[in-house]
Amino acid sequence: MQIRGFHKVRQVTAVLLAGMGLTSLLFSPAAGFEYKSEKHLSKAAVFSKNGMVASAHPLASRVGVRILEDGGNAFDAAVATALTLNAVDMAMCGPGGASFWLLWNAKEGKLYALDADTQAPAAATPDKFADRSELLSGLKAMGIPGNMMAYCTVLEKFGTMPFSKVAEPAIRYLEEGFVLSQRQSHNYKTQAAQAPMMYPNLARVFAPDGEWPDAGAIMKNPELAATYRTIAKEGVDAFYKGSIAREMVRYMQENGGLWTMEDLANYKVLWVEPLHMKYKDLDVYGMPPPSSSVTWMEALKIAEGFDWSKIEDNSLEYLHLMVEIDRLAHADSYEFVADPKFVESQAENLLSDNYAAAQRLRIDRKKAAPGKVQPGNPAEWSRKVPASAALPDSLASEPVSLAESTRNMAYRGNTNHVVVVDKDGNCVSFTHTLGQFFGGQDILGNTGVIGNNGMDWFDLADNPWTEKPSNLIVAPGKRNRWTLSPGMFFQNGKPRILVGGSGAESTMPGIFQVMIRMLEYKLNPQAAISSPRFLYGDMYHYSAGTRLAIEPELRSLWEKDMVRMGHDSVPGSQIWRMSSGNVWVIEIDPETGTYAGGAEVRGDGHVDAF
Amino acid sequence: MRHLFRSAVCALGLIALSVIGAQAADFPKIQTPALFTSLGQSPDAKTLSVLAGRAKLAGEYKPLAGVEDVAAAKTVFITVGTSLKGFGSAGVNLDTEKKRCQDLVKAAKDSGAYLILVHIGGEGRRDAMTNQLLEELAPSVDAFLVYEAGNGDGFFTKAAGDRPIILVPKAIEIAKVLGNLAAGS
Repeated sequence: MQIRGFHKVRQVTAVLLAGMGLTSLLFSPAAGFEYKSEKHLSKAAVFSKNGMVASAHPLASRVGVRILEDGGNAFDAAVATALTLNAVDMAMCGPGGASFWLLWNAKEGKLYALDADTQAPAAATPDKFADRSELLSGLKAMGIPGNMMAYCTVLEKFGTMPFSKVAEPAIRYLEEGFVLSQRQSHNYKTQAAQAPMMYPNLARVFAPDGEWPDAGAIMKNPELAATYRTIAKEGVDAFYKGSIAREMVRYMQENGGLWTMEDLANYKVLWVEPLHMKYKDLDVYGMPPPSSSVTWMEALKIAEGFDWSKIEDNSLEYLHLMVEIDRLAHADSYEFVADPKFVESQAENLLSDNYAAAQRLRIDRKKAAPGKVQPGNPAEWSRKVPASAALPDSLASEPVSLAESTRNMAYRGNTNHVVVVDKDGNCVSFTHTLGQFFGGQDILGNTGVIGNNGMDWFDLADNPWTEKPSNLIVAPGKRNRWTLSPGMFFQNGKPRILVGGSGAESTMPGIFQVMIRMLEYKLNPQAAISSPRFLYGDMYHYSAGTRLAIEPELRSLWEKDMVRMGHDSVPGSQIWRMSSGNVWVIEIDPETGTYAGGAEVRGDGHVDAF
Repeated sequence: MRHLFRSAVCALGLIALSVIGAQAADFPKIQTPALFTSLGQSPDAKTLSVLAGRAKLAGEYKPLAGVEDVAAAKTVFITVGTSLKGFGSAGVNLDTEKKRCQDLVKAAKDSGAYLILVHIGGEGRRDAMTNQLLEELAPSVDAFLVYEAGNGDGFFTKAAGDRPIILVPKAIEIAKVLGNLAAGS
């Protein structure tokens, strides 16, 4: 009787949710954004017509908009926002990190893709690392950084303002300080607790008393301000060949790091062809590997073959199908997303219609695939869809989940995504990161530059998922796989949606879920971001997690049914909401040309506009 | 006024040092060779071994140390803290770590090695799985070395009972405490 009553409640809830959407549709205006009403508690989407910036920190979004108001374009604003994030959200990103950029030049009508990935130093062979912990933090964990070159390259190629101008607000925050938020303080104390003990040079700048400061503390990094001033005066060569490079390498070599002056001097950002696929009438673009855009794109391509109009949003059918699609895409991500100079790219094959059809054959609409779903065979299946019997079985595994160790955290995130659009329709979608909190967790000498821990995304031996030799083995000059995965959607040749995210392995499923909510269920960017999500697996590829964490709003409806269908769901008390990805979106209305923006509610996301 | 302030600061400092000193008094001088290992595969063991190195406390870092490693050590520092990354990269899980914990404890009893439970991860490393490992290990160790931020619920002080415990109020002081222990002061 109780069970029947519970089903009735669920049915009524579903009907109410659907009804709210229908009512909204009936009263939609003829032109402009046509969204269904918001179903879940959420802040409101931001609408504007002159320009918009969405980022992970309100001060940074505000700086970006001020640059736009001062006459700068989207590229100026993007770099200003990035430099400011490096000041006010310094645990997440910095000039010593990596980034991937999609840049739409409206005047040229051309989309550019810039790879500023971190690169293994020439001395980085597997035998140089005693164990995985040396990939995780410390000087050996630091790849050769791309961010400073990316900022200067974007500005030089597309910007209208000099570095000194776009760096001004960041320099002010670095010298005068910004106020540490509650979330930031909590994150540092819980996620980087040991960093001040291990790395005195980091502690010298940010935790001089040996403890991470409490919320409300004024945080400064004047040495990074000085580095920015040097770049403004001497150009980016100062960072890769000049005085800043010498100081970073001196510190590295005196403390057991691997960088040399040659490593820095030989580093290049790469202009690459954007990755493309069709999703219905939309042209979808992402960054090619070693960015992970291909992973959420593959998930969307698989999803394209299902009739979502017959699948109710937030239904059991929806949840099961989305999880199974995500599992297939992620197994491929662990195997095929690697530096294309070292591992032949399968990106185009992964996004082919045939491959998506083959992947759909592997999905049972009534039950979950057991164990670890294995990667597909994109080279073969893209040519010919195999018979069902030829599709690979899962690899048996014991449940692996560390969700318990992350519960009770308000928020996690290691990366920043930024989306920008200006009054002329120029668009930028980029993700930049240091890796984990404070990256490699050390500051390089007196430069104020925090080094990344890009090396942590390499393997030292087998791929933990397939238990076979890994494509991600560390090698000199190799660029590491990142989960950074910016995207842009175009309709009739014009930008329609700018998207990207953060949250390690939760980034791609986060973007996938938000985009399905927008494209198939017509939610506005903020409502789509705020809708409940799931995460399958863990935050890092090498933990090879196999369990499913569902956010409370959906878990309360469907957890028992999902378990009955074979999903290995993390018990309700151990949910980790913050690890279901962080996503930022701007949508451009094709009718009016106006903008609607959404920022992650699970983090410090903020949309600013004018 | 300034003099008064200085005096107050000095007095507070002396009180703080005397608290650490009193708690540390029961600790014997650390005998070497020492072994630094982890239960839960968080980076804390690595951190501790680096700090110990800076404090001239000789020892070997083996995150997955086994019974033979314990048998070769005079003092065994076991840091407790579960790590999502560490479990995956080491290929272990909570159950295998519990079993290893039992083996290490038995080996220490057999060889007479001095067993110190170390918790330096603060509040962030008091999750459910870490707590399970703490409860597994705490009854069997000889002493405790704990960063106070992880003792908000009083778990360590209660678990220690009459056994020696050092509560380090500031993380940055852990290296100094290790140096004092190595020197027997």
